[in-house]
Amino acid sequence: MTLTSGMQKAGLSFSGDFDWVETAYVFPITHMVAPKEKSLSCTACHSQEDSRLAKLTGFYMPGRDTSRVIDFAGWGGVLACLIGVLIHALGRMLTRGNGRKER
Amino acid sequence: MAVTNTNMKNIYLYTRYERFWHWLQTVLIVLLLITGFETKGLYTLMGFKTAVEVHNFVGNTWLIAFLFFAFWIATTGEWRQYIPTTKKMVKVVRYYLYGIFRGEAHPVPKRKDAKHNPLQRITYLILAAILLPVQMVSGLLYWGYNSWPEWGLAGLSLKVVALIHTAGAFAILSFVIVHIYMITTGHTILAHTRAMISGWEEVKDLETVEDWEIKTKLAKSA
Repeated sequence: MTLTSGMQKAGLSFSGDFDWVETAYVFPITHMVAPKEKSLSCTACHSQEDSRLAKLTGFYMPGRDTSRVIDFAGWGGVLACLIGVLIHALGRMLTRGNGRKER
Repeated sequence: MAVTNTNMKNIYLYTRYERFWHWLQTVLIVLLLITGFETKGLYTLMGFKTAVEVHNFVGNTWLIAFLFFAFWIATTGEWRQYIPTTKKMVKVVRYYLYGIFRGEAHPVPKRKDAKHNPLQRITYLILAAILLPVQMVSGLLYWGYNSWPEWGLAGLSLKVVALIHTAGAFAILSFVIVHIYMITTGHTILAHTRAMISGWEEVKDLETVEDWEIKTKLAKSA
């Protein structure tokens, strides 16, 4: 029934006879997905070095992309704070007792 | 000489909730910094996936806890402690740049109704009213990236959001460094830390000590 109406719709002549044909079709049932042991880690792409998507530009990817300006300014600020408090601490240690009561 | 004359008294400076909030934030901020910089690719500690999951969970936890803090600060009137002032600002800056090395007294001693000196007021106002909210909003947006079209934010740039979040992280890390150092500048190294644990801070009792009393005390101790 389906075959007849289908052929009619397609405008093709149809004898009404049909039969099954043995076929072989080779296709991996895993849909080309690699085994678990070979699965990718996040950092395969989300990485600044050897990212598999290193050359895929036009979007921001966490872990891969960064801003040199912000990194430079950020670490600069952090370093400045660190040096600042170290110098201040050193100053306090060297001047201890200079007018300050020892406790 | 002046220092030996001063009485010390304990004042209850930080309520239980404030201390809880402070140390909760300590844990949350440390976790966020560690996992955040791992996600950024600075080092490998717990693995990218775990770092991201922990970061997301802790970030959302902080956001919810911050809403309670906002409620607390609004209903208790404690927000007034964060109103910026220029009064004695120069004196406080001068103290930390010079007076502290000379053993001078702090120009603005802590009081229950004035926990912050002018420098702290402006610092904590910027922190609590600008830096942390910016970090929370950018973090929440970052977290919800896949829902942007549903939220009507399809035009937003992930790069802009991510970089604001990164810049905020650097600012918070800088704050943490200076903060950890500044808490050692009390009359003893651990005085301020002790206050944030027990709630009680030892401060100079200037108001109740009068000149005649000081002489007596001096005579006794001498």
